[in-house]
Amino acid sequence: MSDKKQPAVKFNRRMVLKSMAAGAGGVAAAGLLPGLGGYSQVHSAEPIKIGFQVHRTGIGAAYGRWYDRTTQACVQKINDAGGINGRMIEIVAEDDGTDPKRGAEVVEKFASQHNCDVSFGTLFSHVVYGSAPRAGELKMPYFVVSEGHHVASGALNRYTLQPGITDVKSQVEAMAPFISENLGKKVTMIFPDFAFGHDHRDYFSAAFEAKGGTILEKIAIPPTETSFTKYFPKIPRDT
Amino acid sequence: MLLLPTDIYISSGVLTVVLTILALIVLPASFTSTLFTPKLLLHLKPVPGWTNRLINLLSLTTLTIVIFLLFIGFTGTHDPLRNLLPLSVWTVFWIALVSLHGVLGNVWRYINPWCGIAGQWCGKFALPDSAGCWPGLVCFLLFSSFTLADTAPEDPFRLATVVTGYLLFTLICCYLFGTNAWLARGECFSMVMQRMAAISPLGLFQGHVAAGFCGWKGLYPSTHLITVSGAVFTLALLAIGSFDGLNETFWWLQLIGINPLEFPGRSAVIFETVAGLLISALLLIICFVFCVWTGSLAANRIAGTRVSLLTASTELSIAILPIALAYHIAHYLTAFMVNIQYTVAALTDPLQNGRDLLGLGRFYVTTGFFNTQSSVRTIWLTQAASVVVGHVISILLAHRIALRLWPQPRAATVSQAPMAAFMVLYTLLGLWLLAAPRGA
Repeated sequence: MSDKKQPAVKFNRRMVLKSMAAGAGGVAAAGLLPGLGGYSQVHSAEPIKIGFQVHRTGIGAAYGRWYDRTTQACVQKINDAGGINGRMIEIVAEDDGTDPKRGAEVVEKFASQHNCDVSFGTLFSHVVYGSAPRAGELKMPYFVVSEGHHVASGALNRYTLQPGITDVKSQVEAMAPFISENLGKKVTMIFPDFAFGHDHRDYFSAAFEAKGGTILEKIAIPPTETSFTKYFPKIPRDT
Repeated sequence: MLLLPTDIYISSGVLTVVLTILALIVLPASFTSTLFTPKLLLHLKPVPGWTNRLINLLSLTTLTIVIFLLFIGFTGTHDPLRNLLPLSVWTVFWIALVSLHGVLGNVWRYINPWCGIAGQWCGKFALPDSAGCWPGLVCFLLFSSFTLADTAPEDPFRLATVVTGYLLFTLICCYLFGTNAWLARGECFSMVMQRMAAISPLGLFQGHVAAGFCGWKGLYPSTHLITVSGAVFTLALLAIGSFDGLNETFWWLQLIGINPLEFPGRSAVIFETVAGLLISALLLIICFVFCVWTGSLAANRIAGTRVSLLTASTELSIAILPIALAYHIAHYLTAFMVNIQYTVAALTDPLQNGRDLLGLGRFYVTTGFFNTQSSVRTIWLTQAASVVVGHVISILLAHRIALRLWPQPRAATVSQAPMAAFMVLYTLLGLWLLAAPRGA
């Protein structure tokens, strides 16, 4: 084990943030290109190892399929163009089963077994919640694509980053003025009756009312419901 | 599936099963007897030395492939959809090969990885008769728990470890108890394959290759299939096959207090899943025995016979095998359609070093058939047809077995009344499962 290869230089959070701040449009859709700046002075043939925590099985599998496809296309494009500062990108994919416990195990594997420099790829918030603490402990920059407000709100840790994607709060707050100015002042909200829907309900209604609009009705649809049609008659006529 | 008129499809499916039952009341008793009589096709002259050599060769080939796959599992990519081991185990072996046994017959008997090495082992101890098929049932329950409840059964390294462990465990048991005994009563996959093969139209009969209506081989079962433990294994096979589907529905998630739109992952429901599969096996056994009990009470009264509940239940347990196979096919059809493409992609580059052994060129896995209504309808109706056909065959087979237990046609028909109700409800359950919203 003592002769285990170590990358010439490990990324750390500061280097990742610096390179992101340097911009250069390097952060691709899935946050694939961190660390450009930090490596400009280093000459190494070691590949840049990126842990890809992918929803291969479980409820997120359909998303994982596309995240994988875009990741592979992106990596091929970068590597065909000579890599980053001459260093090829190597993706180490691990299935998280769309499960928080397994997610944490996978992050740990990236750090201790695969010697990855950074990790990315998680969409489902419960997996992010499960994995982020481990990423923080291991000081592994962990890029996620979940849309919940947890990352932006600072509920996790400094190593968990949310690039190139907004969260529910930002989305609905940005949308509220557009609706009040262009569509109407009286709105009925129909939302699934659990956290994701509650975020929409709370943040949108606050932002909308601040713009002078009124929420006439908040119709919560139970998560077990399979048809929305029977809820439509509940929408007030003057919506 | 909300886009399809599944309620109409479900009603039609159930109606088909009901009509089959009604037809059996009207049709003469000789109908099922004739139906399940096999036709002898080809006389076989066994050449013992060569047959054994061929089996050894096939088995050792399988073993070599398995060892190569384990090597890939231990050392290859960690992506379960690129690593050939999980794809081979779950898609090729568990989905395809098990289903194929319903068509081809018991191929596993010849190609399993053990009989090449252990074919002649007679064992150090005799596996006691009282042990029955219970060791195999325990193995099967452990396997099902791993499949349904483990957080990462597809992780290549984890799976390679489990497969290696099972290979060695089986080899040791073959050494201890004799290969034939262990493969028939302890090795759960041989037991599953043997049961699925009982539905196959092809088989060996009186020294001939024979063909007949699906299920004819169920009339000539091996003795351990119609023991209590053998019947429990058969029923558990159906129950767990049904639970593997039920455990993803909104209904089940609600039952265990989980928001179906916010499934927390397998790690949060390990206990519920294992408990669920055990309870469903138990429930099915109770329902089945109850149906056989009430049916045989009535039949015994009419015919003045004393067919015991034990005989009736164990013999009739064979009749549910077509449903088990049908569920297996229907449940896994969509997973197969996607994952077989990943398997082909992995086969062309088994070591993930950029080779293209099959010359596929640019190969993308497509799931486009889930996006258009016409293809989804075709898929759904194929699954539904499998379930309905499975039940129809089961009813016919059960009737034929009943005629053997109670030769008087009226008694046989009456004995099947509770079972017929059970089959209709089970068809409804199966079709509902296909259409039910899923959250896990």
